[in-house]
Amino acid sequence: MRIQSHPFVPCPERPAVEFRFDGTAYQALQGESLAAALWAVGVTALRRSDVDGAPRGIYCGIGHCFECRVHVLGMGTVRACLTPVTAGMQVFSARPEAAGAE
Amino acid sequence: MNCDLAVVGGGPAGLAAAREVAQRGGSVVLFDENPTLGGKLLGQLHEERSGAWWKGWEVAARLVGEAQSAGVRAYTGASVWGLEPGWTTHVAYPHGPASGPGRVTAKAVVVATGAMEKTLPLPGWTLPGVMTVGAAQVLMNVYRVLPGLRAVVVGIDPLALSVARQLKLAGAEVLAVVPPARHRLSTPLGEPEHVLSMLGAMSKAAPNLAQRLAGSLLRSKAGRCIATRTPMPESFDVWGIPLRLRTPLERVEGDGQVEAVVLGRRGANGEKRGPETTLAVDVVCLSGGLTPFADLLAAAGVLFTNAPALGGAVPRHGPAGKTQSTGLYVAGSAGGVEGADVAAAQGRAAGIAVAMELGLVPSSSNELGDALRAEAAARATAKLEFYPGAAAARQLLASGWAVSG
Amino acid sequence: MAIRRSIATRPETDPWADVTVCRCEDVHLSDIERCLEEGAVTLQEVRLATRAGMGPCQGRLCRTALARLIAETPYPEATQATSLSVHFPTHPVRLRDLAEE
Repeated sequence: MRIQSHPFVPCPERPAVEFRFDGTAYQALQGESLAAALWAVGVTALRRSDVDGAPRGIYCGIGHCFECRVHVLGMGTVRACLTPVTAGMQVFSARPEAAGAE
Repeated sequence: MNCDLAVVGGGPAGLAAAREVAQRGGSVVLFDENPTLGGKLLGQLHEERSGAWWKGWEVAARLVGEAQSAGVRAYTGASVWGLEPGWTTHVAYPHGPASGPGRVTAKAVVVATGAMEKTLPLPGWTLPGVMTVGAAQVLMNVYRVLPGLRAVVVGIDPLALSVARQLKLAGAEVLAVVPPARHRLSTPLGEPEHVLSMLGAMSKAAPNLAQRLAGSLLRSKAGRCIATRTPMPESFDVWGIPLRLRTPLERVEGDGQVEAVVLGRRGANGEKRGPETTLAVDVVCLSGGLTPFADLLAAAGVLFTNAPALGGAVPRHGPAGKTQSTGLYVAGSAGGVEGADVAAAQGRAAGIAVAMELGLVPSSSNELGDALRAEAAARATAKLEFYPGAAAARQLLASGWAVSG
Repeated sequence: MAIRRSIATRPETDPWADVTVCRCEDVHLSDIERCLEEGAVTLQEVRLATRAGMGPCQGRLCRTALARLIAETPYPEATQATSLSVHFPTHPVRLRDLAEE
């Protein structure tokens, strides 16, 4: 969820945009990180472990650990914590061909 | 593309180094992986002794403005993956369209890539909802997103305490700040003596804690020896945040994401005592401590020495961040973990040293001496001390450098 | 007679045995300890045997924990020699020199 009020952190001045994660549409603020956008709407699992299928999500938040890796149509594998969300972005937890998307 | 200086990292150290060279007429490019310049300043927030609140993002805006006014060409979303003598910097733009050059040849390079968090592996730590204190800080203060409604912070250290306070400000309930369970995977963080020494370090940032702990006693090794013969205190409330020193985190539980933490119970001398407690939480913030992130320097062949008071493996360097390789410098936490003020001062010194090397500053100038003195002053007045003993560790590194270069 | 000291944890009794040390490649503590018990003494050997440190983060997350585990392992009594994974070239060689071979 987004912080409702904060004594010091200013409200982001970003226009609302829509993006999709595994086919579901969500609202985000343009230019915020994909990781923040997904956490804000309650999506905590960004991918599944290749080895045991366990859900994985944000861990270091600063681009070092690659735990938040997702697939963006047109961009390939990216770190969600470093990728600014854009209108119409299509994001997947697994490679699109595996997920059955085009 | 050719230039005088390439800077890797757009935090306080990188921005300051870039500014100094650009202001003296050098051509400078700067690369940062993040979408916005400022490094970790962007998420930092803490209360000063005066009662005023220091906001890192305001400091970042000023440093960015200075660098850009000086003519630094800064590229965001830029991941530097290679560094070759000469110096050629290889850059990729994986998070968006390529917004800058893929290869730059520079006469000098300043690596200011900051620090990374050490891990605290423990049962259940891979569940979504277990994140570092740094990740929580970014979510809250950069993106204004709440990490969770009910939080537990693991790790007794200044950063853990700072983030616990920030969680409260953001609207989360912080149920406890606890040490990790004692285990060789997290040693020494779960050890009572380490916990006591960190309380001493934290007392610098939390004056009321110092008063209740006789903090200055705990900052000396002799004091700690006395303290460990007395029982480990059970708990403190600092800024309304419960530090619970005798209920370490044993494991995280949940189905698909964090749902609860299980805390053990220790007696006064660290022995297991009593049943475990389960707390329902939706976020667990781990603080394993910071260590320099200097992979580019390691790959470029720079040697490292172990300096626990600076976070661990530190790239060997001399005054103003000069490494053994001509034209290659380190500045900021990548050269040893200290706070933002020290990082900016180090960046300034490195920038002036580069400018001298490039012939932009006369060798008779006092500027470098002034910058090095300013770095020492920043260290002495640092508001947030990550590890006790940074100054002594710097002395040791400096004498090692003086001997062998 | 060489006696091998066992330092591996027992998965059925120790909740820590399954703790993931390398998140990228899902390598557990018990995998690392087994590797150390079998005679690995260097980070490189642990990496090659378990894949720990070879994933996308290139060991950024696990190298400190791996170094700690290796440092705290009492050397097992030698029952066989291990290679120390030193590779050619043992001194830096310029590409042009390699090319001229």
